Parts: sequence; C-alpha cells; structure tokens
Amino acid sequence: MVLMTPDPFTLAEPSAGNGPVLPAADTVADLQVLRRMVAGLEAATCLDAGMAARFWPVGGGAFSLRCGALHEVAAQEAGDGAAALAFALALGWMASSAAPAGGCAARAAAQARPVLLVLEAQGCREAGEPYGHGLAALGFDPGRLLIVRARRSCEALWAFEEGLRCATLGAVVAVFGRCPRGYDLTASRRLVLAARASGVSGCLAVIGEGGAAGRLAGAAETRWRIAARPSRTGLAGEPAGLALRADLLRRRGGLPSQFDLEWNHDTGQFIPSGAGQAPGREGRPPLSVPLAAASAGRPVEAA
Amino acid sequence: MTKGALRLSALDPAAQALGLHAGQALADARALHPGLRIADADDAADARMITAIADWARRYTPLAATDGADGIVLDVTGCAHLFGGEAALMADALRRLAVQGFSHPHGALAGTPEAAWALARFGTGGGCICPPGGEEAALRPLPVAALGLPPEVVSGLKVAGLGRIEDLWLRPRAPIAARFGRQVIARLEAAFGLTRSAITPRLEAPPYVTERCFFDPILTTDAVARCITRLCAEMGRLLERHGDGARRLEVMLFRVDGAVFRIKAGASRPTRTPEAMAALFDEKLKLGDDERDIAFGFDMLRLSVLEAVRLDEAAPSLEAAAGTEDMARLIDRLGARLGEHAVQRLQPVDAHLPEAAAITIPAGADEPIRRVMPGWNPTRAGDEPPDRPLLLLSRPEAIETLASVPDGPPLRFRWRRALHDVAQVEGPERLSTPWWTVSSEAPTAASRTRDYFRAEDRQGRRFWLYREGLYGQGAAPPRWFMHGLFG
Repeated sequence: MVLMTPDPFTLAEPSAGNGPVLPAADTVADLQVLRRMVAGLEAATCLDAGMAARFWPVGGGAFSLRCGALHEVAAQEAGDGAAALAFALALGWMASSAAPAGGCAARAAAQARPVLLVLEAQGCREAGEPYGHGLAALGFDPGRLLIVRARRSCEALWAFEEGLRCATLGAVVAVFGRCPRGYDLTASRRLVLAARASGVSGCLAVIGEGGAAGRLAGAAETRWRIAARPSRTGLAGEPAGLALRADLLRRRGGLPSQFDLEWNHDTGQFIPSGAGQAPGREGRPPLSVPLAAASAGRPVEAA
Repeated sequence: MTKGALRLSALDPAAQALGLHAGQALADARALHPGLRIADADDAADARMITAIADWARRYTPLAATDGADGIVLDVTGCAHLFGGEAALMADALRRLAVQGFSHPHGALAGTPEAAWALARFGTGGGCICPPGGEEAALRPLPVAALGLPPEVVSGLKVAGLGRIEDLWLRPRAPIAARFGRQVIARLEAAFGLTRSAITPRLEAPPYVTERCFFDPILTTDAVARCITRLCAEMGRLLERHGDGARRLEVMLFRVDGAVFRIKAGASRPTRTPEAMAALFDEKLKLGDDERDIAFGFDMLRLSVLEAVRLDEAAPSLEAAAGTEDMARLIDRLGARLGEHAVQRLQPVDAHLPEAAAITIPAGADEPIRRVMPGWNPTRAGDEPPDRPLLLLSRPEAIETLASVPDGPPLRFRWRRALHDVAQVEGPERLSTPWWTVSSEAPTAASRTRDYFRAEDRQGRRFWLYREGLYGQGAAPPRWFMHGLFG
C-alpha cells in the first residue's frame, strides 16, 4: 500500500481520478497497517524535522527555513544591533512554534516550546539588556524565555551547543557583541550537527559591530545581514513597529536574495513591507506562513 | 605592639630554648640575643590557617570550630568509634597534623570544651584523654590561666594567692564572683561540667553525608570522578530511604597534606537520581582542574547534601513531564559551569518605572519572588507598534538634543557621539514616581517626571528617549536621556 496523502494524519476523502484510494473494506486491519507505517515513519531518524517559516523572496520562488538548522545573523552596522536581535529572536520564535517531527500543528501550537537566549556579557553591556515588556510587545512571550549569561565567547558557544542538544527546547538564540572568537568552520559544523540531531533551531546573532557578516564563516544553513529600515508612518506621524531589510547572503542550495520585512507580532510572522495592514484579506500571500509539520521521510518541497 | 612597643607574639623551639617568651619586648629580646631572626606577625594569615585546619578536621566530625587564635575544637560525640575509639582518633589526628608539618600539636579530649581547652594547653602534653567524670581530678592541679580568663583577671587571682584551679574550686564562690567577676565562676563550672556548654561549629552539619577513605591516595581527576559517581549512588539510596531530595550538594576533597577543596553544586529542582547528582559535578571537575592541584593525591572524599527537601515519588512520565526533566537537566548543566545565577528567567513586577518593571530571577527558583503582577503586558493588536523597547540600557545615557519648542519632542539628538535626525516621533508618555514616595522639600533626580518619546531617525532606527523634569519646575533644567532601543 502506498500512502500518498499530504499529511498522514489527515486522510483525504477518496476522490475520482488519480487521487489516493483508501480501501474501504477490512478497515480495522488497514488501520493497523497504517498505524504501524506512521509509527515507523515517526521513529525513523529524519533530517528535515519540520518547517519554521516559508519565505518568498523578491525575485520569485519560495523557500522554507527548516527546524534543526543553524542560522547566522549579523547587523549591517553597529546601530542595527536591535534590529538584528529582533530578527534573530523572530527566527527562533517561528522555529519554536513550528510543529516537531511527526507531530501535528495543533499539538505544537498548544505546547510551544521554550527558547534559550544565550547572552555574551561583553556584547550586551553596550547594547542593553533584553527587556521583558518589550519582548512581550513584539509577541515574544517572556515566560517561554530562558536566559543564560556567559562572560566569555567560548562559554557562550558552549552554552549554545548545550542548548542545541536539548530536544525540549524550540530554539536557541546566541547573542554576541563581536564576531565570537573560536567560531570557525569546525565549531559551526559541530553546532549544525547538534541542531540536526535534536531538531532544535539555532541562531547566532552578532549585534555589537558592523560588517560582521563578512567574517562569519560558518557552515550555517543561512546567513543574514540585517539593517533597520524606516517604518510606515502612522496617521499621526508616529513610527510603526519593527521593520527591517534582510539580506540573505548565503543559503545552502539556494541563491542569495533580499527582503524588506515587517514583523506582525499578532500572527508571529514576517510580512513583506507595504503589504498593508491585513495582507491575507487583500489576497496577497504573506511572506512567511506557519506550516503544518513535514512528516518524516518526505522531501521538503512536498510539504 | 601593645603599649607602643614591638613585642614577640610567637616563638619557635630554638627561641624558647634561649629563654625568650611571648609578650617580651622586641628590644629586650634583641639586647639578649642580637642575632634573632624575626618576621612580622600576620594575624589574618594565622586565622586563615586555623580555619583551614578546622575544615580539615571535619573529616572526623561535622561539628568543628575554631577556638581562639591558636586552636580548634571538635565535638566527637558519637564519632569516635568510627576511628577505633577516642584514643585512636586523637592519635590519628595528632599524627596527621605532625605529618603536615605542625611541630608538637597538642590535643586533649574531655567531657566539656573548657576542660579540653585547659588540658590541651596546660596538660601533660601529647594526647591526654580525660575519662568521663574525671575532669575534676585532671583540672585541679592546673594553673588558673587554664580557665581561659583574660590576663588581668589571671594576674589578679595570682596576686590574691589563688594560683591553681583547686584553690578556686575549694573556696566559696560568692566572694570570688564579687571580686573577680561572674565569668571566673562561669568558666569554672563549665569546665567541671556543672553547666552545659556547646561549641558553635564553623559550618552547619549537613543532613546527609557519604564518604570514602583511601589507603593509597587517588591521583587523577578520572578517579575522583569515578569516586564521586559511586558516592552519588550511595547518597541516592540514602535519600530514597528518607524520602528526601538534594537541593545543594558539596564534595570535599581532603588532600594528603591537609588542604581541603570544596566543590559546591546546586540542582534547580530537588533530585536523588545518582546520575543527575554526579552530572552536577562533571562540569565543575573539568573546570577547576588547573586550580586544584592534586599533588600527592586525595586520601578522602566526602559527599554531603547541604540542603535537602522532601521529594515524593511522582508517577512517571507523560510527555510534558519528560520535557521539564530535560529542562531541569539543562539548567543544572549550564548553572554548574557558568554559575547558578547565570541562568535566569524574566519576571514582571508591578512597578511604574520601566527599569523596575521587569527583573531577572534565577531559573531554578521555586516560586516567583514577587508575584504581584499577573503577567506581561498583553500583546497589542498587529498594527499597533510596540510601546516598550526590545533592549533597555542598564543606565539611561545622557544625550544632547535640539527641539523646536522647549516642551516638544527632539528634532535631532547626539547619542554616543553620533548625530541622529528624527524623522518620526510619538509621545510623550508621561511616567512619574508615585506621589507618596516623593518628598516635597527635596525632590531627587529619581523622583522627577519623565516624558518618554518613541523616535525614529532617518535610517530607520527606533529609540526610546525621555526628558527628565519639566520646564518651569525646580531649579535644574530638564535633561534628556536615551533609555532603550526598539527593534
């Protein structure tokens, strides 16, 4: 029997033509077979655990960020640190709200997983401390946040890796003032493997200096350069919420591209700049949408 | 040093043989023996040494205390049989001290701390043991100085012809107390066991202890780790029997030469699983390897539970329970290496000023410390911008501003030497300290009203600025500060 439904948990109704045909007779036995297959799929070690977010770049085409991958984020200039931190946290938040492997989206939403924030003391002394009410205002529930402070960058990298090995977490965001010493291809490869094994997404952010994107030479899935961007002007001339320009400098198996993004803290997703207040209602697709879990064993594009 | 003269405070055996004595003026001693070699007395170092010895002596009993500047006192009630009896314990302690390089340590064992003090300092030397009830016979021939009284009292007693303890013991107490003070009688009665006295141990006795002694000292970190694992297994059984879980643990490593190293570890939630307890020490052992010089090895390891709390067996394990267990382990591992206070959670506080409205608490804390506010500000609607910054500066930083009208928002400001042109601005949001905390006579800087503005510069960076104070109120003109950064 070949299972062809998009999601093993939702059985499509039998349709005419080439659609999947589920046997009607002998239902109990078939269900048992199905259950065993699902269990087998869930148990199988899978590399693409789930999807964190899907992006539509300016030039067309779509790609998704996977859970269990490492991303690098750097501020374009020293003054863009807050924007870079917000972007890194947003990546972490989207990943931690995504469905884990083999789980269904509803269950994942019901128990959003905690996020570990690793702060290197040196970097945060200048930039300021993450502020609970500000996090809450961006839609990042501070109650889900666990903060670790490390004095040196090597300790922060260690804590980063420890977090990536703990499958209970949804994501780990490590924040550095400068390009961390000791973060090279080998170190980042370790992090990538740890993330892949546990399905926890990692995000390394350099917020204290400009031009760090060029010096981050890791094996990460993506590398982003973030700059603040003027936001929409409100009715009374007031600035709007988080708006930024994200340069995707490197992506495994993909081309670099550029985004102008705004963060919708209500839905917890990025929307393309200028998409208006309610992008979904105007018929334009949001730039990133939450996804159901990609179940194990299927290629990413099938999700 | 006393009365303006340099005096001898301690002598080595050679100097004693020359007939010098402690308390003698240095000039006199030099006049007698010009070749004297002297070193400055270092009371702090002496105290450290005595403290270290008291810690070392915890291998015999948890109740060990320093006793004055030159001794330690141990309560070995119920411990002596572990070392083969009182005489064997004393001999072992004195031998080990001698091996460590302390020449002629004196020891005594008696039914009261005061009697032991007297016998150790004025007794026959070696390790004299006073049998139960034998205090009277042992103490009577000793000089009154053995009661540990202040020197002026001792000299007063001597002048009165009361040179020995038995002179006091046989006389009516009331006249002595009237002339020399209550303390003479109090010390006397305590020494003879008529009143009870107890020692104050330097460190609290832990509720649970397991330990292991080695005939041959262990020399490698691996062996130490293995031994800790075994001690944790024993401790786990001990805790299980009593239904307790360990919250704070300590490993003491007794080095052959008397140095004692202590490794403390805390668990974010009470535990008695041997693996979890051993894992707490893994990181610490790796970390402190270079500062902890193993040298000749450790001859004893002790694992103590410093804080135990009741831990009832819970039904194992739904999916969520497994998650919390994982989290606790992660918090412990991070805390063990980076310090327990390095792992934190954010906690809202019902306070008006932004910097006081959120605090960080240790992640392992049982209860939120101040549970006044029910939660964080609710997330605002999707198109409403955040009203609080993502990053808050630990101290507001003064900025220079240019505003079109004195009360209005800034047009341009300079922060950290960079000039920012304000493109869009929202405000003010007025925050002031509660009126009942402000004294009307002397308003301080902290009590001045703040007008917060959310400003965006031409490059799109969003800032949280405030003006402190109002125009036309108070002598000092208002000042501007940078307080936070929006994403």
